[in-house]
Amino acid sequence: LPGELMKGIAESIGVSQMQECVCVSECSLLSPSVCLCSQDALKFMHHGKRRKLMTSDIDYALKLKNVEPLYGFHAQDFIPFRFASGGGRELYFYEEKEVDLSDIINTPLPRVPLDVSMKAHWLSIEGVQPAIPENPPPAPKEQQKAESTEPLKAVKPGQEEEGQLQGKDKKKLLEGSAMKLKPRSTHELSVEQQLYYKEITEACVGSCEAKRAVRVNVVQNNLALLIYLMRMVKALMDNPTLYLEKYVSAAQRCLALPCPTLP
Amino acid sequence: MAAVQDGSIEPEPENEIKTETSNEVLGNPGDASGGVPPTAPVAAVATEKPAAAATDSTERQTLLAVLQFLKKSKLFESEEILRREAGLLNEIGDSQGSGAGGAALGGGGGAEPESGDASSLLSRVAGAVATAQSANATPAPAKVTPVVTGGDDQPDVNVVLAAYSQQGDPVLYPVYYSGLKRFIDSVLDCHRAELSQVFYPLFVHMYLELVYNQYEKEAKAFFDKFHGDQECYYKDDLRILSGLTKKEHMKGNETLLDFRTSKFVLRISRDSYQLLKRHLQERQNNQIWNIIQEHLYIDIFDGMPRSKGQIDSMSGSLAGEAKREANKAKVFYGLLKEPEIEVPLDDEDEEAENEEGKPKKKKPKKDSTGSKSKKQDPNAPQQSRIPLPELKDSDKLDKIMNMKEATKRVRLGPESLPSICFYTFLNAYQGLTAVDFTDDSSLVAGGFADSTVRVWSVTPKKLRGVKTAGDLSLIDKDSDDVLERIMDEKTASESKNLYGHSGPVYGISFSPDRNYLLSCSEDATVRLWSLQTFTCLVGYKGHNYPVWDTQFSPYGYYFISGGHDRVARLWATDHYQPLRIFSGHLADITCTRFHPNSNYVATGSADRTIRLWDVLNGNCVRIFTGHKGPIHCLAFSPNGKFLASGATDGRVLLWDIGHGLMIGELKGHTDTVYALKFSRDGEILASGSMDNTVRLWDATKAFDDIETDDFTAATGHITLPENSQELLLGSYMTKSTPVIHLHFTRRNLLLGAGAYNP
Repeated sequence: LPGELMKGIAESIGVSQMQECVCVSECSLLSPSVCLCSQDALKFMHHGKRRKLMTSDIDYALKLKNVEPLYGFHAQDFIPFRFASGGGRELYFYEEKEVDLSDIINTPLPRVPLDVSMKAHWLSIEGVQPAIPENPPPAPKEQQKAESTEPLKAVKPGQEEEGQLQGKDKKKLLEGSAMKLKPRSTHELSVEQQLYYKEITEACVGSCEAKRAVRVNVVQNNLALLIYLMRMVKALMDNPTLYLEKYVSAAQRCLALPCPTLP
Repeated sequence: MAAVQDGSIEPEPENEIKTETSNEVLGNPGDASGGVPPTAPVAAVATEKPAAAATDSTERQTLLAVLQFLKKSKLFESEEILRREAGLLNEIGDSQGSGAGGAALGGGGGAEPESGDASSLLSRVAGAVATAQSANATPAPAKVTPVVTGGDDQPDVNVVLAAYSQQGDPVLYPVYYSGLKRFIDSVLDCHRAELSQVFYPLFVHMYLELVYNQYEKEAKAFFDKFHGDQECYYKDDLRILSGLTKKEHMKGNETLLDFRTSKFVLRISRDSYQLLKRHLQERQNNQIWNIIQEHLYIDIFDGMPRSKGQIDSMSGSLAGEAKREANKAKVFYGLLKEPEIEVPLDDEDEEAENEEGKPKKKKPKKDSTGSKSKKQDPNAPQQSRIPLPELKDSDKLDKIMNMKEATKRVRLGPESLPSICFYTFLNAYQGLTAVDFTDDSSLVAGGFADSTVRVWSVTPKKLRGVKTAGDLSLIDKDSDDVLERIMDEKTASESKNLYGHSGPVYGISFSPDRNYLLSCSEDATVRLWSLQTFTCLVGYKGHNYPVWDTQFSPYGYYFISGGHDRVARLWATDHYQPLRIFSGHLADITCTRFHPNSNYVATGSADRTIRLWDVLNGNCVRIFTGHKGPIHCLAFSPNGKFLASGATDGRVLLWDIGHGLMIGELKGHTDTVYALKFSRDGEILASGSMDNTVRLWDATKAFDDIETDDFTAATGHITLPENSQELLLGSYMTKSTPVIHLHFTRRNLLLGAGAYNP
């Protein structure tokens, strides 16, 4: 602990001139106590199953050593220390505002916070995490890449397919239902997904003009198809939650098929 | 342990005299370093002492020591004066072969820089048992005997602190240490890893000696120079040490003091030990040898030297590793035989349990979950080893339900993972500190930082309190559903709040018969609540410091609690004082668990060890070291053979109780592991942590590899396979919800609990 700390404290209580060596020695007496106090406060934090050290932890730590706790330092997040610098020193202090008592009495009571409640949800069903709102969103691309390149890594979170398609026509976002992927086994597409798939492909490459909303020349038919296919692929690639490497070879084969038909 | 009073004058004059010896000038008071209050001139002190009439035996010893020193230094006149004034006769002075050992010339470590001179007589003043021979020994290095506190009324602390005599010139400490470093660097690879274990305890003890003898500058320099060399898992301890720069700081810290009295245990192979011994017994390295002998306990084993990996996995605790003898006691880890209850085939009308042998119309199924053989399992304790409560009717009913559920239990395995249902506590504002489920998973209780305990019903059945006494007298006692009638419908609700504690509730435990709930809190009490009336029944006061964990015995009636005062207590619900006190840990006890057969208790502590205690006699039967942080959860496997533990270092360690060895390490979590549970048949281990994940591990595979009995039982060293990845079956993230508790239902559905923390 630096000696300036002692100087600051002394000045705040009115002792104006303290010698340097006195400050330093006082500080050195302080530092292990502060150290021990914070060690104890850490214990309370660990047992409180938290990562953030709270003022209550320090209060309990002081209580442990039969020292009176500090009064008046309860804040939800952070104690609002104010920073001030001047006279060659930097200082963090707690601004104690003076408030009129009548103001406090007359302000309406704050809203009562919600009481503790308990809610249950499925974190995993037979080893696979369902994509319900209570569960975190599926793994990002990088993790999926890691999974596919290291198949022995048995991390199997569920994967959700969100269709975020930028079709040529404006379509609303379709939220895909959970696609349960069981690696190393066949992919089962639910009926919903099959429907969805059909919908999407029809929208992109179907011949129904109303859906596509574009006039297509017969001569250009195949080319247009190809373009739509490419756009669909681009949309799929742009989707941050899908990792396509597994399917690249399959996709390439599909795309290559129309090519011979091109003039 | 008596509190150390700064005013106690006993060690002070010894210190003064000690520090004087280095200058070999008696009566030079001004040389003492500043900051120590009783800096009275040594001579004055020495002469004052006899005036106090040396009634106290320790004062007498001090006096004798001073006389001896004067004699040795050939200051005959001063000696004569002192003797006269003290009124001591000549014959008392010299060779005190008896245990009083006031001469304390057994102390090794020279006062002068050259080592081995036994003239530093006051190194063991208070109550040390010095042999007469070594008292008048030649300057050959005397064996340093440890400070024995037997038979002295001096408080342990003073003795301990007095043990920090000056061992050689403090300025040379870095030189000694560097010398040792150079030596160890030069030995063969196979020995180097083992000998490097010596660095940390040596470093700490040397640093503390410097601090105690008030060589602040040297201490700081020593610390700065060498603290970077230490192992990474000691960095928390080193941080605490760096804050300790003055002698006064040491006195307030109990953990530190215990660290000194208990010897740091090292396990070194015989070959490496011989190497070290030979090197250190050469003249110039004697200081280190003395320190080693004094503060370290070297457990020598015959066999191959251990590799760095093996050493790293076992070290990390505050007192080194465990001595082999500590883990040699026989532990009855088998399960108690289930009482035979005949299960009626017809559920509905045969609710009532049957006595054994009662003739039935249909042939009832025998209890198949009980032990199959009539023979006593050699590893199981006797049924009556610990008196357990009799089975009540309701207990038998419970057991029958249990067995029925067991038949519907899902068989788990790597191919068939359990489903996880997660109970999230919303709006807890970081206040959820403890959770427990009943065994049949019908109730869940949460302990909060605002000192409340809340009980929720998981099933649609609401919680009801019992009617008041007036109402109770009105009901028809002979009706069949009297148990339903005593419940007051008006009080039915989803959850009940229990108020009574005055501090955050850190531990919760349901009783197996679902009648009681225990909770322990920062207010140093353990409270027993009734789940019929939802009121507090008893407050057990015994700890004077926060109680961190509590648990009911699997058979009810007994419960255990552990807290900041570093002891665990075994209580019975109908005794207001504990039945057993398990003390031995160096730092506070953070987790307490009963063994499934209720004969043993495991405690995990902030000193990074796990101890297994015998309930019958309170002995510590196992010490497990290896964690690098305070242990926060323990779980026994259902067959009673294995123990899993999780700590703040994020690792889960697996231990074989019978052999007393670490058999597995599960790496994967990145933050403190707070929840561990084995599945009902022990195939899967689930772990939950602050990193918001639940991980499932293949327990059968982890324990399978161990069935082969090729431990080197003599040395007990195993190379742990790096197979955490293979054992990991699944990892499930929650949405910012640290997982605090896990529970397998009777059908092997995994329930998790935690508070949503956005």
